[in-house]
Amino acid sequence: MFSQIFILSPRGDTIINRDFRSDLPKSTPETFFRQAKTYSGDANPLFAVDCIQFAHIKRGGLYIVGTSRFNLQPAMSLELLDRLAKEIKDFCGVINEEVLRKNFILIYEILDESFDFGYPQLMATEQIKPLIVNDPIQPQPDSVMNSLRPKIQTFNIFVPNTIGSQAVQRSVLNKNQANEIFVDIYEKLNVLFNSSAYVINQSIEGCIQMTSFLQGNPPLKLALNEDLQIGRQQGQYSAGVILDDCNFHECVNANELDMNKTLRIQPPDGQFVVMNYRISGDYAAPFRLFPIIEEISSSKIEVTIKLKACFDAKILASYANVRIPIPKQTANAYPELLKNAQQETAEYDSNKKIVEWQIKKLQGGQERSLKIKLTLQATQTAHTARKEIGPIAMNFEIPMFNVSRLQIKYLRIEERGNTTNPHRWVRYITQSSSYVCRI
Amino acid sequence: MAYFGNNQQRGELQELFTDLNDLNFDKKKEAIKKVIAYMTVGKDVSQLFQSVIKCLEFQDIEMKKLIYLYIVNYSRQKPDDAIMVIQNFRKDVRKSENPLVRALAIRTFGCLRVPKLNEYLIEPLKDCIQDDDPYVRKTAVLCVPKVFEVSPELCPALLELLQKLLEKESNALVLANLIQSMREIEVVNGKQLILMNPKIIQKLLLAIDECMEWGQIFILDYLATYDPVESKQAEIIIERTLPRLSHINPTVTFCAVKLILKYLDHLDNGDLVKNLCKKISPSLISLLSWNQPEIQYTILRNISLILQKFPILFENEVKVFFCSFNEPYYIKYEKLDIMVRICDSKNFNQVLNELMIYINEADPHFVRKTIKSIGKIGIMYDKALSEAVSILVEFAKNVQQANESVQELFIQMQILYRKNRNLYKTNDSLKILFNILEYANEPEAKSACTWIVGEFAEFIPKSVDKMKEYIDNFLIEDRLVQLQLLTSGVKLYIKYPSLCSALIQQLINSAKDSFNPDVRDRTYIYWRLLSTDPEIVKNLVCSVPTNSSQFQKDIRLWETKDLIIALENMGSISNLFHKLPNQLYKNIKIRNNHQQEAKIYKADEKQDIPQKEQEIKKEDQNQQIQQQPKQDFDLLNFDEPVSKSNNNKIDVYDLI
Repeated sequence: MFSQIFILSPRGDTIINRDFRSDLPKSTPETFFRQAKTYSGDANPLFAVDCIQFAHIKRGGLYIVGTSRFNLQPAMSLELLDRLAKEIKDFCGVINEEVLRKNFILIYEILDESFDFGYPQLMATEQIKPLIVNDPIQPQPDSVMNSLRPKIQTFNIFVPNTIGSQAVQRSVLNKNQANEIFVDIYEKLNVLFNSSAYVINQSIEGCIQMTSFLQGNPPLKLALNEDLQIGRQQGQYSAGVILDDCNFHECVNANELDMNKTLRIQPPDGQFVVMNYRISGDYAAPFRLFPIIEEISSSKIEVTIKLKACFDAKILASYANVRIPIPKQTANAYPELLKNAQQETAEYDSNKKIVEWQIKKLQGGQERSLKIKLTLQATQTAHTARKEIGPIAMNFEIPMFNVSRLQIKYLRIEERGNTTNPHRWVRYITQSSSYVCRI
Repeated sequence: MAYFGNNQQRGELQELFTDLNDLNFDKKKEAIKKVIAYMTVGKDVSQLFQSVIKCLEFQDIEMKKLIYLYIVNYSRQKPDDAIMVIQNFRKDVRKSENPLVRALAIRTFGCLRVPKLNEYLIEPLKDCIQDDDPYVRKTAVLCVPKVFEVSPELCPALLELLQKLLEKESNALVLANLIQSMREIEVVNGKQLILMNPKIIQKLLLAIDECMEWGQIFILDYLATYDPVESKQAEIIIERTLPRLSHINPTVTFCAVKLILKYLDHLDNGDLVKNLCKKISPSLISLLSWNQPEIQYTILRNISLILQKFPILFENEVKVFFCSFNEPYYIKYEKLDIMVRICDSKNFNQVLNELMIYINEADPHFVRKTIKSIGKIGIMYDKALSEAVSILVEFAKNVQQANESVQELFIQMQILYRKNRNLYKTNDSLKILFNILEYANEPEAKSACTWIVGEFAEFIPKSVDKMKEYIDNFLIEDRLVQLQLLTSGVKLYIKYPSLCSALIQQLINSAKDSFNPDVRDRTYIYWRLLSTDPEIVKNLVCSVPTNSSQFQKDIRLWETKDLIIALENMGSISNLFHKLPNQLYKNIKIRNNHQQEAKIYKADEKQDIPQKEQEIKKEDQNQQIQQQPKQDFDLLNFDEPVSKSNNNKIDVYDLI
């Protein structure tokens, strides 16, 4: 298992250094940093120097590194570091150099409870909370470091770009907190269209995530759709919501899911993923793209792309971006929007040979279109060049909307006689993961 | 300057020293925090050892934690001073009411790693192993391997205690730590410590449900090394493991998969095996969709391994491995590799259609891999051959510059032509290739081009001129190209004796004095043969095989006995590199395995995936006889450089 865990600043200074096994030289952090700097971009998450395995993740600009001489499981070591980062964040509120330097003693405490001899021990925030004696020290709000701090990273898999959650920056040790719980249902869509807008392949990766600030961590009961079904039989069609597969957090008891469609949850403090699910079946894609390519002459091509938002008019996509790769031999490209276009831009990047079409807000049911006029260099004819157009990729986010129709019917506190009524916040977010149209 | 710097540091230390000896408690605590801060950044504060230790008399737990941190760091530098701490430790372990303090003391004690202190540790450690509080027990249990590493001679009594504890322990967390520390000692010691019996297995299975995810990993991982005695037992263990397949932690899921896959061998109920496979594959697929790309990568690397033994798992699931445009390339490469492995006589069309689209991607390296994969599929399935060729020819039409992917195109086309010589007619492929011959610049691709020119000389209008061009540059070519040039030159001479007599003379003249013995020897052999009887050479070099030969490829990653070891280490770093643990780490010994045959789990339908010793007939056998084996290997080797270094793998081809 891990021999050491250390945390380095972006400049390579050691902020935290805990040696569990003393089987590696003391200069290992320097070895790591020197090697990490040899990569042109971000360093590989796992690499080896002189038979020492380094696993690292980057959070808030800091390197969190685990080292080992053993044949360890790479997936597990990265997961452990990620979990450690989450713990630190739960205690300190944020992860950045200043906070870590101020709280280094607290971090050593957390490390000692989380690992012994390099083996993971207790790694859930609420489990180690009673064992920790130090209180977190919050950074001065007016300090220079603070204002320079980069945007705070969150640790969930899904990071919404537009809606910031108020739940993100709070420490679990904060005693005067509101009694509330946040529930997020995220869905990421993978869709592949062919040129006639026919779906070739589609799937949804979704998760239900909670951030709990409930006092006393009471047991919860979460009810999902009544027509929910888990596991797909071949050739079966059903009107209900069918999940191909799902998995649950440790605190979730899913025994009643099949019968009553309810989950019993013993919520830990802070953020956790209640359930991940995967759907591979057909669903109505929220956007449809209709590309039309016309060869005007041997050196001119016109590409027209129609985008249709196929969801309810009450729902508003917070943004939708479309990227259209165009032939390498393009001499020039003029993207043209419709005359009445609002909150839309279209730009041609001549280095990357890509046209970027950005739409700020898009209401359900609306249609937009873009025309690109391409002039080719003399070396290539329109007939061969048209093959190089595409595939068109889309990026979008639609708040308060989910494709799978998986819903939270209710979320109750199970304890009888509990008079407090905590605030419960639920939101739905749909994002694109890989939304591609081939031409 | 140095003197000045020194002086300043001494000043800081002096200040800390004063503060540490101050009577005010808060001041002491602040001073200790500063000491730890210095320690973290790597400054030497070992001189303060005695002053720091003195502060241990306070019962403040925060202070204790800090001091222990300090002691652990400097005990090996100051073993004599560290002895003074022993009394404090023993007091904490024996007398303290607070389990936290007891555990803290024993944990720190274990980390001292000073051999002469360890004898004082044994007694308190024994007490802690039998402590009433599970938190203390779990800490104490992990303390044993720490001591064992430094002074194994002190440990027999402790080990016995651990074995007893295993019999009666009921706390899941302690059990998990117990298993882990005993395994670690087993590795160092070489002796079996954990004596499995049905009772312990029962207990471990119960513990899986209760303990935390990391504990689950330890226990599942251990159970996966166990060989169940009978089918019923395997069935029970699998039954208890199934719920872990839907755990949110990918490592737990993966350990469960590993365990179940291993135990399948022990089941004698065929239907059950099939049902289990149906349960495992969605979990494995899910691992690919929910996690960060890094974790996906590790899973993909292991899937290519699992596939060799369990083709049944991903039957009908090839779509899962289609690349999406925004994935990192390292994921795409793995997916390509798996798509080829998964491809069978039923779905090759689907795979080829998908690959056809990848061929237009921007990254030349990815395109190169795609072309290679198309070539492999063409070789493996006779029915896929013409489809593969037409995709490649389509690609060749659009080639406009020399890049990586074009090189691969030549190499793959040569191999496909070898499989079926008549392919040159398909879609004018020969003509299109000939037009872009000048783009070949890698030795392997160039050698493929010279082969094509020689082999199909009669169908290429200017083949002699082209050959002349090549032979003019003979001396600057790579050895691989030179060897191929010799054979192709002779072929051309046989076909057009009068046109090429000067050419062959030029070729022999430039090659006969080569520094490379291979090139020189081959030159002389051809020379002698030609001067003896050109007719023999014709039979040897130019004979056209009558029927299209069966020329297939073994895509197995591992030899059977290595496969079993590799599957036992599923999920580890060594598998990520597709190596055996002992190849990567010198300190790891692998269990000797006598099992020679691995059971392969296939779907019901008969498939023609090559998996046993393939009968590989060679096309132009006559010609190949003359070529030295190494050359042969180079030409036909499809494997990535990574696996080339895998010396445990058999050569890809068995020659008959």
